[in-house]
Amino acid sequence: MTPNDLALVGPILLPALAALLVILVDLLPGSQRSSGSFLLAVLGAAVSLGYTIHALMHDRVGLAFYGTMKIDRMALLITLFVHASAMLSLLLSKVYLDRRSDVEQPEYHAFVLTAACGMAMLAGANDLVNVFLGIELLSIPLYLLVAMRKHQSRSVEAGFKYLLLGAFASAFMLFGAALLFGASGKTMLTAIPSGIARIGNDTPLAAFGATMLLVGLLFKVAAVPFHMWTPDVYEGAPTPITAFMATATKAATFAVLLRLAPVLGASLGEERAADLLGGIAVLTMFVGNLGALTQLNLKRLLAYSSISHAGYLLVGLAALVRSYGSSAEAEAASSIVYYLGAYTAMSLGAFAVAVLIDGGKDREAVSDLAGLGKRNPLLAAAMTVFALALAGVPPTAGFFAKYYVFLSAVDAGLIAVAVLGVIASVIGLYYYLRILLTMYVDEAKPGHEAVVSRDALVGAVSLAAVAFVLLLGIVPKGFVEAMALAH
Amino acid sequence: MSVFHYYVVAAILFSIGAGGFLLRRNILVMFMSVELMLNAANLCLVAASSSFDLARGSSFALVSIAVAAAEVGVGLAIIIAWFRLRPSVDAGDLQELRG
Repeated sequence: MTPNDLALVGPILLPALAALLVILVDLLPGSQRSSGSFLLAVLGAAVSLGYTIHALMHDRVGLAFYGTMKIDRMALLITLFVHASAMLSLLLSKVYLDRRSDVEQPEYHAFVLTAACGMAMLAGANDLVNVFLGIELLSIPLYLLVAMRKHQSRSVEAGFKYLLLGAFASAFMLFGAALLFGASGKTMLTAIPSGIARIGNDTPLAAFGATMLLVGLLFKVAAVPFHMWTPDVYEGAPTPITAFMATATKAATFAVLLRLAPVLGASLGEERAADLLGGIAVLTMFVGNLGALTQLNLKRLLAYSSISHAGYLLVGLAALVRSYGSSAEAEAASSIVYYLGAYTAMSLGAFAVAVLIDGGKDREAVSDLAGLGKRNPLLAAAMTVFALALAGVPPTAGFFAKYYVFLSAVDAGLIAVAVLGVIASVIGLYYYLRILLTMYVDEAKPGHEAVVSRDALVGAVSLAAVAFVLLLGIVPKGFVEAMALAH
Repeated sequence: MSVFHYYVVAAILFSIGAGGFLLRRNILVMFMSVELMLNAANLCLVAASSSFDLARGSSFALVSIAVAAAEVGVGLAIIIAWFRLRPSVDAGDLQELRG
């Protein structure tokens, strides 16, 4: 371990340090529990975010800890999304928790930072041990955060379901990692393909191992058929945590999937791995979009929307596995990273609106949005941008994200997958437009008017997200080119 | 005895764990089944590690044991929180969130 190693993994260490500080300060006698820990946590997330941006701008990249951590531009970009998501979720939490008294705030804030540390670790992991540690370091605090409203049975039930199924998925992941180690004699991700080739691929060990590892990771990104937990957990969790989980977990896990692409190719065969991922992607897009059609609860609707977005991202991953080693590889990888950035902004924004309409009474039905267009035109306009972006309407970032992902699939020869993806996103249009209709056309039922709280924090979060969604949509090319350097 | 015998034993242990998780409805038993699956993975890691004469796999197993302990700690905390709200250990009672 050298000082340089520590500087490289700064974006991972800083949130952990901040989490410790939050807990320590809470122990001081007479400390202002909730407000003190909130300020410290936001400061910690902001410093981590600033450090990541600094590292990105000065190209502080390289291998750390004997190559087990690979901090490249891709890792830094994903860490940037994670820390931005953590900070915005903390700001939303302030609004959400101030209206409720059943949550221990210092623990809550410390767990958000710990999970962010795990996600950042996952983004830079280049070794099976670090992948496993990162997954657990993000999952265990999230189990607790979901169940944090411990007097509310919905929240505890959601946390419990997430824990049981998450532990089951982790066991699959660990067993898969063990088999991959057995098949290659290596734990470093970049060394596994050559290790498999050296030992000889005459046993199905590597194929089994890669598949089981994939199962564990697909569970975390909520891909079909491992998505069953998603609507329940997203609905039961405190809304800011739902926002954090939907965006940052997805980004961090896709970082690992990007790094695993050559391993999947080497152990399953490139064509077979791409077909498998393409099939899962198609299923995920359709199940997500069809499932969302009938949802009346806004958080549940966004959960199904999040499943469908995992599907679009998997289209990009299938293209990456198929085109690995060719010129189209960088294009596929950067399309996924672009998608993750766009998705983080638009999904966080939509959840910010959900935090605002709930008014401290856990009102989260889509119909609670009725009349928002008249009562609070600014917020309704922000929600319009997010819904159109999630649906993939130009000129938002959501459109270009889908466009680049489908383009890379076509370039990789996965034309059927791309066509089915376009059909699935047309189905998706229906329920996003329903949100707009509810806001602008429907009259609110008496007693169910959308809450118009002019909260500066939520306003700032929404505004930042709107700006990012539009900015990414208007100058998409520059962003993609910057991200193409990521690989 | 080749290393594959160990893999077979690990696979059998893993299947027993997975089967227990899917078939039993008692949440504590489901939790124990997951532990069995994790131990199967550890067995696999240690066996592979000694067949390659590398310490890497064994140290991975040590890490995973520590992580499993943390997971159990958090798991039991959530089970207790659940039990306070609804005194039942039947997974069938986890049904408030549906739709």
